[in-house]
Amino acid sequence: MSESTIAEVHGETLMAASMQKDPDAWFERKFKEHMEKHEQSIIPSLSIVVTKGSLDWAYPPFILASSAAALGWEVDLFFTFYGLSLLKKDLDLSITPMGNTAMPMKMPFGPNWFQNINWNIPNALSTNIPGFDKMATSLMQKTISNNGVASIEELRELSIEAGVKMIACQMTVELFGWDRADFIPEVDDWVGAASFLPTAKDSDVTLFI
Amino acid sequence: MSINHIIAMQGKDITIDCSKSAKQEFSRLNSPVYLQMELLFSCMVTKRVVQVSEKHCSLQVQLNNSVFLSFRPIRTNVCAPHGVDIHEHDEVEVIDIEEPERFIPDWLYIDYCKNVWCGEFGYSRKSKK
Repeated sequence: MSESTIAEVHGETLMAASMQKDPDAWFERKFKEHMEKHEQSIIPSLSIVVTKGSLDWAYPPFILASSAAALGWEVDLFFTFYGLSLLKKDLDLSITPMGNTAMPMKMPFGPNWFQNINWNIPNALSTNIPGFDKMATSLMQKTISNNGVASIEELRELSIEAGVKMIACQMTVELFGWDRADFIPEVDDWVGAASFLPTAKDSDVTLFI
Repeated sequence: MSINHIIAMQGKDITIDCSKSAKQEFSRLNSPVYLQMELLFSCMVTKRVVQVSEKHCSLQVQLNNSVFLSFRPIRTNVCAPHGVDIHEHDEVEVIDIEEPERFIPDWLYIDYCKNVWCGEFGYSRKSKK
């Protein structure tokens, strides 16, 4: 009899003895061991329904997706309605202070005291100045770039590189009269809500943004 | 002393561009310089190019005789307070990301301003400034 066989037989004998002595404690210990192994083998998953396509709202889904992917999670993003524009080849995202009451209007240049001023511009003024939204967008982009924050294009590329699944809502494409050729080729699937819901149901975390 | 324009890191090509001041500084170097592309996953995903002390990072390549480049994607246990060096902060624990090769960038721009090595890196040629 080899040494390993002797050890195996010895182990089984000990286990049988332990089981006979206190079966409840033995079962509890074994169950705990199995559960720990099972929990370690589970890969967490995240599903996000992405519904908004403005510059500010594009950040949360891509930041969460790329961060989760960096942790080794499985991530599915379902782009629907205005969120679908985040999958376009040419991203032309903009931002507006209209209705965004919490959005600070700060200048990304000049000395610190100047950059810290919050320019509370009344809606009546911002709506009447032509190109105000374009200016707000470029100021926000400059602030993002100055702080070394990754752009939306980069976050999207990062997410794709990290294996995040990009799922597009087929109904929205038809509804808005878009063409599949307008979108990046990395879109994994074109489906409807009914096809995405089972994925969301099985995810550990499901978010709507 | 020149820098290779395209280098391979873990099988992925990185296109490298240098500013005039960086090129001048490269030609003056008489000791090795270790540059690191750091990608931080926090409330925002931020990137920076910094000079580090001699570090043996798993993803390190030699750009020329005296310049070494490494890539380090990290995350922190808490959101990093603005304007502090997370590597020197007591409350911030820096954690390396598993499988860092998945996040290797496509391009790198090396600059040298005010006696400090800096720069940018990114993931699509389009997004470069």
